[in-house]
Amino acid sequence: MSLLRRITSGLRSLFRNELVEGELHEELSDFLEMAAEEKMKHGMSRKDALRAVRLERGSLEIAKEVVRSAGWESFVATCWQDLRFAARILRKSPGFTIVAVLTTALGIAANVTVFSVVDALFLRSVPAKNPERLVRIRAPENDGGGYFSVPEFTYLREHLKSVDDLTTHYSTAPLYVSASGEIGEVQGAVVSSGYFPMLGLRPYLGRFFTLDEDSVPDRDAVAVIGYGFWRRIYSGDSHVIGKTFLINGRSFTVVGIMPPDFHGVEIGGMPNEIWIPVMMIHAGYRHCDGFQPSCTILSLMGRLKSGISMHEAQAQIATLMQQLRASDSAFDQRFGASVTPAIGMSENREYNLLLVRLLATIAGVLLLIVGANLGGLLVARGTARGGEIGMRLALGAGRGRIVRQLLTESLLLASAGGAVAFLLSTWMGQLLVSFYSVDDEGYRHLFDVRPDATVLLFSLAVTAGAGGLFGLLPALQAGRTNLNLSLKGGGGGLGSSRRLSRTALAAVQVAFSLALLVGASLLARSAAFIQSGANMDLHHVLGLRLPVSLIHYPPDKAYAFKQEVVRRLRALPGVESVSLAKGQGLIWKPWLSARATLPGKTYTKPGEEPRIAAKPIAPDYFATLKIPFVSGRDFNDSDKPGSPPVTIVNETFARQITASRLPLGQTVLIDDKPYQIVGLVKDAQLRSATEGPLPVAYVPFWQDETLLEARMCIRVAGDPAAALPMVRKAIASIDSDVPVTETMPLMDQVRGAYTDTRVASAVLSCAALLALILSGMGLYGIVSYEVGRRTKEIGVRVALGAQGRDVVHLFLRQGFGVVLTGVIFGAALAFATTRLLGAWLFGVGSADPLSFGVAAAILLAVTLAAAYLPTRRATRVDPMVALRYE
Amino acid sequence: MLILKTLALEPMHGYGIAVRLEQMSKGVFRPNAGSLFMAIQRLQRDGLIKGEWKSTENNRRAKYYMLTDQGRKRLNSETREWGRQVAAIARILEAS
Repeated sequence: MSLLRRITSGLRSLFRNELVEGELHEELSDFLEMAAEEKMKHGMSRKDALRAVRLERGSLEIAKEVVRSAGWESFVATCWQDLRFAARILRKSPGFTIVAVLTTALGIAANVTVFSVVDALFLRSVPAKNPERLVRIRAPENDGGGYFSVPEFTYLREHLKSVDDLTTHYSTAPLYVSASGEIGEVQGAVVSSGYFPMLGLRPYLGRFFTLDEDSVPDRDAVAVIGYGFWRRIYSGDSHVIGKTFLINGRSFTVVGIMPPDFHGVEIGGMPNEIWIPVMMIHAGYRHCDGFQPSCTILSLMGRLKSGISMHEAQAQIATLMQQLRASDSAFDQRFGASVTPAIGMSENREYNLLLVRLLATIAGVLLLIVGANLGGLLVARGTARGGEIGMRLALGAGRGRIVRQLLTESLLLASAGGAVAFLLSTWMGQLLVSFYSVDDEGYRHLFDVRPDATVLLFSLAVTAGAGGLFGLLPALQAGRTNLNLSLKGGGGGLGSSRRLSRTALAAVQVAFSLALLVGASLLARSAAFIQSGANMDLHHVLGLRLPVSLIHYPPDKAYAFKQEVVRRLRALPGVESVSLAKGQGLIWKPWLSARATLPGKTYTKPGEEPRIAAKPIAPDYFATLKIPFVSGRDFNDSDKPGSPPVTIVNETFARQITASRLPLGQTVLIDDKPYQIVGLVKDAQLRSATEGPLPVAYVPFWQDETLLEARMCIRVAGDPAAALPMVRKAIASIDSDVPVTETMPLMDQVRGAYTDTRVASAVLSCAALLALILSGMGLYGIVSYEVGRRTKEIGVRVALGAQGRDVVHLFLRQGFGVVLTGVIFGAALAFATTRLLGAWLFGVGSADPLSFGVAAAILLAVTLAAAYLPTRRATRVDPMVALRYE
Repeated sequence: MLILKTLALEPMHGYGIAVRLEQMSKGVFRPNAGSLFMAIQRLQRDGLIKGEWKSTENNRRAKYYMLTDQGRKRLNSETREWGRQVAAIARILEAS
């Protein structure tokens, strides 16, 4: 009650100022008047009486001031006064203000952008209407990669009591769809019927799946389609419910349409456009039989029962999994389970966290540099305004008030910067995720980085922090202004502590700038290395995939089909060579899934045998990717089913497995099967500074008739993307039903796969450039201030016969001192921190001397140039003018 | 507390309070305008007194202050507390 009254009364005096003032005036003057009348009754004249009263009781204005300052509103009022004054001061020097606001904006925007990404990827809950207590359930990573199989899911749904609405989804199902005459690949999800209610979704049209559709395998071919898909394919026709379309050759009935803003539960995942029931998993997944206990591909979600902890749920799941395993040995041995809140992205969390941490560090360092730069500028302004501040002190301003006034000024600057930054960061956030919108298989990903309330709050905090950071030191120093010296006009004596802090701030900027520059040049070299490739040339190569298993080709038909494709493509004009390889992306890190050893070598313990990557390839693979041969021969048409198994190995394989430089003719056991080595090629692996070279054994693709899926690589004379229609036509002329997917020039695939390095490189380069400019400005400011301050001294020196060169040296030496200190500390800083970049460095080590040298050279050149410019003014000082000025 | 005491008998305007304080303290307290009105404002904001504009005995408009119920309670409790403290101090001084 009393607090409320205090607030309302304060607000009244703030906003109805005149009325309150009037009342106060009336009351106080009445008071004095009455006192005077009292005196006049005792025979004093009116004038004497008033004078006596003022002496006794204090004057009217002072009394008013005392009363006013009692309430909290006076604090607000002075803040407002400070704010208006600060705005006036800043308007007076627009150049300074614009530079200050813009640099602050960039510094803050970098941080807000990174935070909005953190927020979008790690802090937001899955898009559910009521995300409270929603959890993700994962199997242990050591087997099954965190996922469950359909039988495991149905068993858990039946027996798990600690979780309500246990649902499952497989959200990365590329479906080959033929609808309304349109054919193409669409991202789909296989979900259980509880999925939609759990998320609180309501169909835009039609209905979702029933529990009955969740019970019999392969019976209910129904689908819910996305709003975008509906608009695109069916032009928003509301009679679409009940219509059918083909998914991987099977007819599905549309039963419902999803609301417009829902794209699936995977944050940063591929946006889903079609949902089919979990019992139709055969249509959605092709690499193993979805109903087998060992085919673990499903993610589980559910709502934790109230009063149950995640630990309890975890223990219960582990027990159930043990029971399942005990009842049927077809189930994998599982070791526990993990239950985590359904917040943020579920895949690649650690990996993305690593990159985000790097970006956050860069942004933080940038803000420090901006802070140091602005701090320096403000200290300089403080010096320039010594007279004004001295005057205000002399007129009775408290030092506290001066500090408050100056802090208000920096906070105003920071707020303006923060506002610009917030706008800027939404754009920067979009730009950042646009790098990730297409992955290395050509699939689209959806990142929603639109800022929310959390981001807004964060930017306010950063803004306030930044304002305090660069404002406090200059303000405190101004507060220590020596009244006498500053009013005397020379101001010579007040500089020393300021000069020191400015120099220190400039050196700090130089140091951090160097660290950023070193990082930027390391990453730039890495990005270039990725483009040029390690022992391979991917320019002019088109990649694509022929998933014939989607349309249920038998192996012999698939074999013949692919041989025909290779033959036809080879005959196309402009095609130089064609080859194919099985499995993972052509440029990806080799997957060590096979065992290899020399015959006669025995291993006692399981798992002791060396792991290698075994990659089935067709002839001309090395010619197409331009991977150089060291010795031996390529595969050819004689390496066919039934012929003796042969292999081509890379140099790391030769070194690690055969321990010989030229292993041609030797026999190795790969997964216990003997292969004769017929060729040796260079390592063709793009590996980061933290990865070692991996052993690869290439085996003939055509020797194995059971291989269905293949990735093709096609070297053409011109632009690979331009050759795509011709290639598609040639494939369609053999069988137009075969899906042609993941079509992209291999260079695009490289760009997609190493986005992190490119992003880190781009971000770090921008940050380093900005830091460089700021350091230059900082140094320019210092030297030019010194030149101005010592004009008189220069005059004397020139009068005594100093040459222009001597004067330049005088100031350059000072600038050089600052830069050198900065460079030394910066190099140490860079040396200590670039190791953290390891995962994104390719072809260079983190202590690459060239990068250090280039960075230091650029920094020295720029900062010394910045220091040199103002010294030229010093050489033009006319001794007569300088001395007469006194 | 002293202002509250002056208002305990009847509502009064600012000058009245000053005069009454002076009278009651036999000239020891002569509050100046600034501190008096600051104190009045504080008391008003704490809800211990309230003021309203009335005309004075010689037909001037003046703001009269009066105790609220809360103010009366506070006066009683503070008077008691003050009495206790004075008594305690007196005892200490006598003891030495």
